[in-house]
Formats: sequence, structure tokens, C-alpha cells
Amino acid sequence: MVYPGSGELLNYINADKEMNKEANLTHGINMDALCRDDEKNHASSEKITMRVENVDLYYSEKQALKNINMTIMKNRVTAFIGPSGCGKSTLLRCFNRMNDLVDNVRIEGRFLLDDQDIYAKNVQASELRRRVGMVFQKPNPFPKSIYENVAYGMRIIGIKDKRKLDENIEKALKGAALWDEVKDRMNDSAMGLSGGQQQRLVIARAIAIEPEVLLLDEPASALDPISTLKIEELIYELKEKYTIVIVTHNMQQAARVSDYTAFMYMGELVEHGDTKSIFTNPKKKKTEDYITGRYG
Amino acid sequence: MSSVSKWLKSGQPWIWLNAGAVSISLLMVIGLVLLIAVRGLAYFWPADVMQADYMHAGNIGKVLGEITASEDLSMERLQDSGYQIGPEIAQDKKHVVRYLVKMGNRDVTGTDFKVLLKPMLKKVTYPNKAMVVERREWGNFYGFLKALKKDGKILAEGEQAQAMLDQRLKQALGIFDEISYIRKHDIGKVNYSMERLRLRERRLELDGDTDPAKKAAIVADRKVLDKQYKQLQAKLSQLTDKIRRDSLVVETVDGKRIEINMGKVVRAYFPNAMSTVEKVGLYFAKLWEFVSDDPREANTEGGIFPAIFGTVLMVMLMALLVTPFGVVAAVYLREYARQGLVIRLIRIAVNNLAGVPSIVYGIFGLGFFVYFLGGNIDALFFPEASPAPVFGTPGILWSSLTLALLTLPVVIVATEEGLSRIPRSIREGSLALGATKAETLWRTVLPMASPAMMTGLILAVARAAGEVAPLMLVGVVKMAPSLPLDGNFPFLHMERKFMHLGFHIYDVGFQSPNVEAARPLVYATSLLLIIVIVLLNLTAIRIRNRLRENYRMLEN
Amino acid sequence: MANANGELSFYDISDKADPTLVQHLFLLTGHNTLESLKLLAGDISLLAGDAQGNVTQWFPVKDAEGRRVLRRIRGFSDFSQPVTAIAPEHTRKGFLAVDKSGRIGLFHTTAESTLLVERVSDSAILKAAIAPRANAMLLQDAQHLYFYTINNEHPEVSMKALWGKVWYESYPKPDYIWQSSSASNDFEPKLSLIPLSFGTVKAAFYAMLFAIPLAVMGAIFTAQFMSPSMRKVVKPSIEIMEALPTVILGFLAGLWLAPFMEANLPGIFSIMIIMPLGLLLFAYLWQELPDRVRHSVPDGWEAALLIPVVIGLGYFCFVLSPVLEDSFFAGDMPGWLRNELGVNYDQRNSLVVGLAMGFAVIPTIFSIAEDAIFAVPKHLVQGSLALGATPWQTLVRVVLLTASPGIFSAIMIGMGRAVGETMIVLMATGNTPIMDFSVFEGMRTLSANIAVEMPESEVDSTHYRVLFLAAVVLFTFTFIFNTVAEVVRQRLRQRYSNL
Repeated sequence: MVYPGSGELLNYINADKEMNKEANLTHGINMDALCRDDEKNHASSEKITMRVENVDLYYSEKQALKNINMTIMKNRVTAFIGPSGCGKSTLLRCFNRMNDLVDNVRIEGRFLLDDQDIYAKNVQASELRRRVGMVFQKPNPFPKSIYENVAYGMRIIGIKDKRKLDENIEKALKGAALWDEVKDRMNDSAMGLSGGQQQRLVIARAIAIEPEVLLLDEPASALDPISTLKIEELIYELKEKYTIVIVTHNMQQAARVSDYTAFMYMGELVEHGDTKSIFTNPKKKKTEDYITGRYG
Repeated sequence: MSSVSKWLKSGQPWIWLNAGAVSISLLMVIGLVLLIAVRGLAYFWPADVMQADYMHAGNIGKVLGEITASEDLSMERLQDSGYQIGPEIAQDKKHVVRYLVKMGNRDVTGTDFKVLLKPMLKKVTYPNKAMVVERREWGNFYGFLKALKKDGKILAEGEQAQAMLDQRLKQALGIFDEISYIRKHDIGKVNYSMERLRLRERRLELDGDTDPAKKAAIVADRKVLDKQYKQLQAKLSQLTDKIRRDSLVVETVDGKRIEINMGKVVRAYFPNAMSTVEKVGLYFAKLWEFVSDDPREANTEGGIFPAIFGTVLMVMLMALLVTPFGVVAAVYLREYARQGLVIRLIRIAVNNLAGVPSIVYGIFGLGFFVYFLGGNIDALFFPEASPAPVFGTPGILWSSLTLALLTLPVVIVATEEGLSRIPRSIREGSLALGATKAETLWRTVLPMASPAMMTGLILAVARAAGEVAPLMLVGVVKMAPSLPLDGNFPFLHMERKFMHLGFHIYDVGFQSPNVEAARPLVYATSLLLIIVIVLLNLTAIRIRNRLRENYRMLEN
Repeated sequence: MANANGELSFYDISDKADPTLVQHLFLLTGHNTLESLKLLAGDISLLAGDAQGNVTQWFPVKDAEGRRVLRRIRGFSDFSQPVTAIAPEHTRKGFLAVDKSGRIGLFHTTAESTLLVERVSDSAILKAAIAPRANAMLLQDAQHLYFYTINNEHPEVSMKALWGKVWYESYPKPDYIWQSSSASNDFEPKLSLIPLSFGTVKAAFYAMLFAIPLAVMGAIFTAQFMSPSMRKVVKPSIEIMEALPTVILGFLAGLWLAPFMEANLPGIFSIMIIMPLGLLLFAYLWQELPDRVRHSVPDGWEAALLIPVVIGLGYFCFVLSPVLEDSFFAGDMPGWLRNELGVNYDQRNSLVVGLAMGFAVIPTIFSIAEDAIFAVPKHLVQGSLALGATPWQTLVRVVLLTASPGIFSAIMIGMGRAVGETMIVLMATGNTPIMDFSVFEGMRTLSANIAVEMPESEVDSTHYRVLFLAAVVLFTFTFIFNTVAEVVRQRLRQRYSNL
């Protein structure tokens, strides 16, 4: 399957790097204006599902995220790109409060899911994580059977009825494009699957509880190219039902797969817009430099 | 030689010496286990019986018995031990072999062991007709079968007697089993109920309860029990009568004739006439008797079943107590407690607990559990039993508690180690799916750590099976009249004292009146204990090795 | 018999028809008069109260000629006024004394302690009596009769009684003695913890002497030079060694090793010399063998190769033993020791305990030391070898230095274990509480003492409490060792996390 824009962008990036020199880059941009610009750029049928407002994040004394403001659009794929250490994983992990597990983390600002502050005192982190799921870089299936892995989230919610479980598990595995490969060995250990299969299993496990948002932290970086392709296909299908935010250090992947792209550098959100314009006509010099491969 | 000094300087000699240290240690372990195995297993083999004449200090005597030990001595050591050297030993001999002969017949001669020098023995033979009789009193008898008596009259003599022996013996043993069952079980039950009745009565007294109906009930119950008792007694005397007048007529090597009551005979056999197959059969029969029977003869003969039972029961109770505490403590230390000074202090305390001498645990158990807790329990719940203490005295409950405390660090450390090896990615995965920390622990982490917990438990059990010092203070006895688990309500009697394999070794080896007779039994008991402990440890090691493989797979 | 000047005549009236004067002495010095004279419970000691307020204790002691003469043992000088009466306790070695100024004092002789001095009246107390169970006293002065209850549960215990040299009745001089009970009722309990502590230290010392070289050297070889496949066999074996119940070790030590050692004493000593030399000789000869033979044994399996060598050397020593014994020791080495050197040989002695307890402690030290040496990062070792150092030099200069805290910690923990060991000592020594450095004599340790005496001690008696105190002392020893070891280990972990 061919992804929209993949061929053109690749050609562009490989062929003409000089064109970017003429791009209109302004410094000291008004962030509010930029955001409003973003909103104007979207079709009116698009809805906002998550908002980040004036967020700063500190690890002890060190500031890891600086003044982040962004919106995530519903049922679209948003990619975070940037050089290592720029804070994209850190920001991602804020969306489902996984940073709560780290000592000495301080967060200022607000994260809103459907206009509700997820860091509010009365919000349970475990409940939030049922609405915002996460897939990690290294596949981490539990040392249980394939069936039990996918059933895990549902059992936690309290679903015990075997028929319902079976139904949902089949649906999830089909949604993760793994059903055909494992339907005859549901009781085998998940550890026996290949890396790519394990990652798809983990995705199935995550979507089995039907979250609203799926966070993918470099989901294919530990996999071989064929498995990577399969995962990217999957992402394209999944966005019909879920909002997807993906962190990747692979620019081409971001270009292939995402609708919106956010470029981060040294803890700051440098530029955020629809993928086509980011890659063909970046507004900031830093973005352009990164995309053309001058660093990162 | 320069090559020697060069070699010395290269440091190689030291490496070889270090290797030697390993070899020596390994040999010591293996040697020890082999020594116990050989001596322990040899105990059950029916040995040949020797007959000889001996001459010493002008006396001529006959000896019939088993040679249990032989030693090579220098003449000086012999003299030093107070022995008068007679003409039977050639003058120029510098060394002599000394035998320890088990002659039995303690009721006839007064001692069952005799020390004899090899040169003293003449006309050594191994007669086929030599018989060994294992008895319930007075130890073994060595002699010759002359006749069988039934009801006081001679039933058979000589060859015929030998042929009928097995059958008559089997009969007598059957009756004896019945008798001991009635005694232990039925009469024991009646006694137990009587005691409870007495306690009920005393309770009423203490409460000032003068309700005539209750008193009448007690009197009625007592009447019933009395009747039962009388019936059982009657049955007993009937059975005893059956075998009272059956006996073996035997003759010692000196020609003395005695009668051995059939009821007192455990086993009778002719070792010199037995084939190897028969001997092997007898060997396994004796082995089985060892693990299933009660002890006889002040713990120097018979079986060690009560000790095995006591050890197993105590260890199970201990496991029940230590597992929840140890696991919870380890989970708290690793998962919930904040890293800092408090946790470091707790860790130091746990490691210290592991190094405290076991006797100190015993003292703590005695002072706190037995006298403080037990004393208070008695005052609160069992006032009618006073002045006899119920829980305020050493017993199996306190022993299990004390050993649980002793092995707690083992379980904590093993569980903690298991928990620490579970990769973070698994925990994160579970939390990302919306599980709380507790749910993650219960559903994912603890099941993954269960092999480690099992290793800890096995190591704890192995340690508890071998610890004796604290038990000497909080609950074991030389001879327990009854097991802590029996058919009388409430079935598990936690206040009873019990027997223990390790303590049995100490007691029989060092406190028994007849050390020579007891020694082979101690070797056998040691062997049993070692086998159990080695098996437990090997299992734990296997599980731990398999765990390491699994974790390596996980991390990849 | 004595007079007011303190002149005492001591008669032996064992033959009532012919009393003999044993001794004539002066109890007092300077300007002093004897005010009261009483015998302590047990009728061995004499208590003399004088006008200067002192109470002195005397009892017969064997002198240089072997005669028993009265000696002044100790004195209590808590009064300034004459001692008007002394009332000894009926069953214990304490007494009540009263003086002219109306003060009373409660004392205990063995513990050398003054328990209480108080003013009860303003005038002289003329008579005093103490209740049979020492829980009350009756005092009389010129006008009044006083009755007081006394709460004096454990007067026999004081720091001096527990830790100092005490001159016990009928002993020739002050000494450290532990003897907690005897058949007679008037017995003076001797509760010095020194012999027991000495025994504990002595047993631990001999055990460590045997265990440390074997354990540390074994750990070095296993961690650094042994092949991994052999290591997989050796480590579990040592773990099994650790798991062996000490009751079995003690039983073997007492019932097999002790007689065996007595019968083959020269063999045991010759092993200590012949084994290392023999191993070295074998190693040197092995070096000289052609390569083909040497390479048949894979690298790192030297320990396995040495097993038959050790067996051979051991067997040789024990075959040699009777020959040595006949040639040098007139056929009986223990007898020779006794007769020629005046050294008493006890069958169950420190040598036996040292071997048995050493055996028990070796695996503890071995495991921890081995882990410490194994944990030294390989890149350090490789760095040293790359600079041209031999494996041995690398070991000594780099590895041991880095692992030394771990080895130290291992030894500390082993020491803690040796100090606390009960069953082996119980079974492998004569359990005599003597203080003797000889390796051929036994001892009694704190732990074995508790195990033996606790079941027979009366609950809440002084003896009972002193046994608990002994447990506390034992706990303190091991606590110190273990805490030092733990602190060292934690610091080591920090250091390694940086490497």
C-alpha cells in the first residue's frame, strides 16, 4: 500500500535541499498566533481532543519541557519529531501520567482531555490510562498466554464473562492485524512470538479496552523493516477509531504516517502544523535544518 | 635451581594451593556425606553372628554376637587404657586388633557389649543355628532356639520349632498390634475425654456455676466413659492372655536357658543361614520399620516415626506462618517504601536478623512467646487447667513461631531478589493499561516472582529442619507420649511438645544411657536428615537456575 | 572463739575429745573493738563487725603448707559508727548489718556489693533479724520495734560478680569461675561470665584459624581461575555444605572425629605440614610433564585434578601416623603429651571444635568472598593483564584490593556465625567452663551454656536472668560483627556502581 505523499516527500528531500533557504523564516514568533493559525488550518469537521496549555516540566532542577502549547486533533495521527533528548518522549508520557512514576518530577501548566484537566486531584491515574493507552518502544508482553495478554486490561475493568472476553479479544487482534497468525494458538506463551508479532500483540492489548487516545513511543524502532511496514499500515487503519500520537526519530516514518507533525528541540515546541506543510514548507529555520538533515 | 625459583616467583604455586583449598573443601563435604551414608545404611544390614572361645586373665569364656567395630591399637595405648596384657598376646607384637562385640542378652549378663582382642579369640565359627531375637525390652538376644511353648506347654522342639517360628511370631505380632492399637487409640481417647470432663468440672467450679443439670450431665458422661474404659480393659486382658503364656525357649552360648515371652519379640532370624536375597528383604523391612515405627528401649532401638512426624508438622506450621509475613515485608520494602534512611536501617536490621545466633532466638521465644504470651493465654482462656500450664510451656506452636522468626530474613531476601529482577517494562505495561499499583502487583509482578518466593520458602524449610538449639528451649522433648496431630478434637494440639529429628540425634547420641547401642541409630537418623535437606536444597537450586534462564529470556 | 579485742582462736573440733588449735589471729587493726561476729549461711564464712563501722569477711583458705587458715577476704566500710548487729540471710550469701547511729545496710558478699544503706531510727539499733526468705526484716532499738519488707530479688549479681575476679568460698584465690548450681542448698552461685565469654572467643578463634585460609583461598580460585563449567558444580556443593545441619556436624565431631583424632594425633599434625608441601611438589612435577599430558586436563580444572592428590596425601599421612607415633611418641601421643610435656589431653578439645566449627563456617565465608571477587569488573582484570602482569600479580594487586571490603565482610559474618554456634560446641567439647589457651583442652561457650542450663533453671531466678544476660552478650557480639559487615558491604555496593 502506498501512503499519501510518501513518494513526493522523499523525492523532495533527496533532491532539492537548497529550496529551503528561500523559505520565509521569522524568529520570535508569537505562539498564540501560531496556535490560532493551526486551528484555522484545520477543516471545520476536525475536533480537538487534547490540549496542552503552558506546560513546563522539571526533573529536580533541570527543566525538560519549556512552555509547551499544542492541541491534538481527534482521529488523526500526530507525530512528535526531533533530535534525541529534545523531550518528545517526556511530553508523550505526560499525556497518560506515566511521569508520575518518576521521582522528583514537577509539572506546571495544564493537560486537558476533552476539556478536563487530567492532573486534577480527583482524577485517578489508572482511570485516565484506560482512556489514553500507550505502546512502548520495546515490546513488553506479559509472560502469560496470548489470550491472557489481550484479556488483561478487560479483566482489570471487571469483565469476566467468557463470551464477551472472547469477542473483544478477537476484535482487538483483528484490529491489530494479528488474528490470523495467532488464532490457533491463543493459549501459547506470548514470549514465543517474533518481535513484530509481539508489538502487534501489545497494540491489540492496548486497543482491547477501547481507549480514546493511543500513544505510541517509537513503536517500530526495535523492529525489522518488514515489521515496521506492518506497524505503519496498522497505524493508518487504527486512526479511524482512535486518536494517535506517535513519537518517532524516523522522519520518513513521520512523513508517511502522520497527519500533523510537531517538531521539538531542546524541550521547546518549535513548530506544529499539518505534515505536508511542515515537510515541504517549514516556517522555522530550525525545523528546516532538522528536516534537511543538517543535524539530529 | 633457577627453574624452581622462577616457578615459585610466577605465582603459580599459590594458584595451585588455592585450587587445593577447593579440593579439600569438596572432599570434606563428600567424605562427610559418604561416612554417614555408609554407617547409616550399614545399620540395617543383618550382620553375621560369630561364635568363639576367648581366654583372658585366666578366664575362659564363650562369646556369641556381632562384631560391630574393630580398631588397630598400639600396645602402649592398650596399656594406657588400663588393660592387663596376658599371655594370649605374643610378646613382640606392637599392634593388636581390638573388637567391639555386641553380645546382647542384657537381662542375663548385665551388659550387651564386650571388648575383646583378636588374639584372644579361638575357634571362631559362624554357626547356622545362631539366632538373633529383637525384643521390646532388654535389647537383642543372641543364642540358639530350643523350643516353642504355647500356653505354657511345649509345642515344638528343635528343627520343628525353627520351622514353626515364623508363623507363631506373625500371630503374636498381630495380637500385639491389636493390643497397642487399643491402648494408644481407644483407651487414649477415653483418657482424653476424661481429662476434658475434669476440666469442664473445674470450669464450673471456677465460675461458681451450681446448675444441677450441668453437674448431672458431667456425672452421666463420666459414667459412660467409665463403662467404655472397663470394656476396653476387659478386651485388653483377653488379648494379653492369649499371648501371655506363649514363649520361646532359648539357650545362650554359655548354656543358660531362658524363656522369652512371644509378646516381647519383635523379630527373630538366623543371619548366618540367610541367603543374600533374604538378607536384602530383611534389610528393607528394617528400613521401613525405622521410618514408620515408634522408638523402643529409650530411643536406642526401633523407629523414629514420631520424630519425623514432629519435624514435618512443625516445619509446615512454620511455613504457614513465615510466608505471608516474609512476602508482605519484602513487597513493602521493594515496592512501597520510600528510599532513604529508614529503609537502610530496616535493611540493616533484616540482615542482622539473619546473623543472630539461633540460641538467642530460642531465648527470645522462651521469654516472650512461652512465658509472656503463653502465660497470658493460660490466664485468660484456660484458668481451669491451672496449675498445669497449657500454653505457658514449650510446645509446637511456640516452636513454629520461633523458627518462623528465625527464617524470616531468608524469605524476605529471596522474595526481594525475585521482585528486583522483574523488568520495569512489565510494570509499565501493566500500569499503562489502567491497572493500579496493587493490581499490577497482584496480577503480574507477584506471579512472576513466585518461583523466587518458592526458593525462599524451600531454603527456610531446609534451615528449620536442621535447627536444634532454639528448639531445645521452646518445645522438643526426648520422648513425646502422643503426636500433636491425632484423632481427638481439636485434632491439632498446638500446645503439645513434640519430637524432632535433629534433637533426636543430639539426645540419642549424647544423652542416652547406652551410647554404643545408640550410635548406629544416630548415624541412620543423620542420614535421613541429610537426605531430606540435600533434596530440598537441590530443588531450590534447580528452581533458581531455571529462573535465571527465564529472566535472561525476558531481558532479551 | 573471739574476744572484744578482735583476737580469734580457730579450733578444729572434728575430734571432739581432742580439739586442736589451728590458728590464732587478730581480726582487727589499730584502735578497734569487735562488736559482732556471725557466720554466713553455709557456715563457711565469718562476718566480723567492728567499732569503726567495718564488716569484714573471713574464711579458711589453704596456705602454702596445705593447712586451712582463716584469711581476710573482703570488707564493707559503709558505716561510721560501730556495727551493733549482723543478721546473715538464711539461704543466700548476703547479710543485714545495723549500727549504733540507727542505720541499716544490706550487703552481698560474693557480689561485693552494698545494696542499701539507710537511716531507720535516731538511736542505736540493738538487734536485727532477717526473714527466712530474705523478704522482710525486724529491727529493735531502745524504744521501738521496726518491721520492713525487703524487695531484694537478685543480690548475687553485680558488675564485679559478672565480669571481675571474685574470691569464692574455699577457693585459694580470686578467680573467674562459672558454676551455677550444685547439690547443696548453701551453695554459693558463681556467675562469672568471663569463662564463658573466653570459651566463646577461643572456639571462634580456632574455627576461624581453620576456616579463613581454606575459604578465602578457595574463593579466590573459584572466582578467578576456575572454569565456568566446574564452577557450576562447585558452587552448589558449597551451598549444600552450608545447609548441613550443625547438629550432625557436632555429632560427628564428638562421636567420630574426637576418638579418631585421639588415635591418630600424629597423622593430624603431619597433614598440616605434608598437605601443602605435597600439593606444591605435585604442582611442580605437573609443570615439568610434557605438554600433551598437561593439556589433557582442561584449563581451570586444577581443583578436580588435585582431588586424587589430596586423597593420596591424606591416606599417606594416616598410614604414617602409627609409624610416627611409635618412633617419636612411644606409641601413644596423648599419653606422651601428658607424661612428657605435662599437657592434659582431653578427647573432646579445641582442635576438634576448631575443625568442626571451621567446617561449618567455611561455606559462609566462601560464598560471600567468592561473590565479592567475582563481582570485580572484568575490564579491570583485562587492563592489568594487557599491561603484562601475570594472573597472580593481577589477582594480588588489583582483584584482591578491589574485593577486600567484600572479603572483610565475609570474614566478619563468618566470625558472627562462629560465635553463635551452639550444637557443635555442645557435642564436641567436654563443656567444662575452664579458661585455658591450650588447644588440647575443651571449653564451654555462652551459647552451649544457655542451651544446657536453661531447661533446668528456675523461672525468674537469678540464674535464669543471668542466662538471659548471656544471650544479650552473645547478641551484642554478633550484632557488632554483622553491622560492621553490613556497612562495609553497602559502601562496597556504592563503590561498584561507579565502576
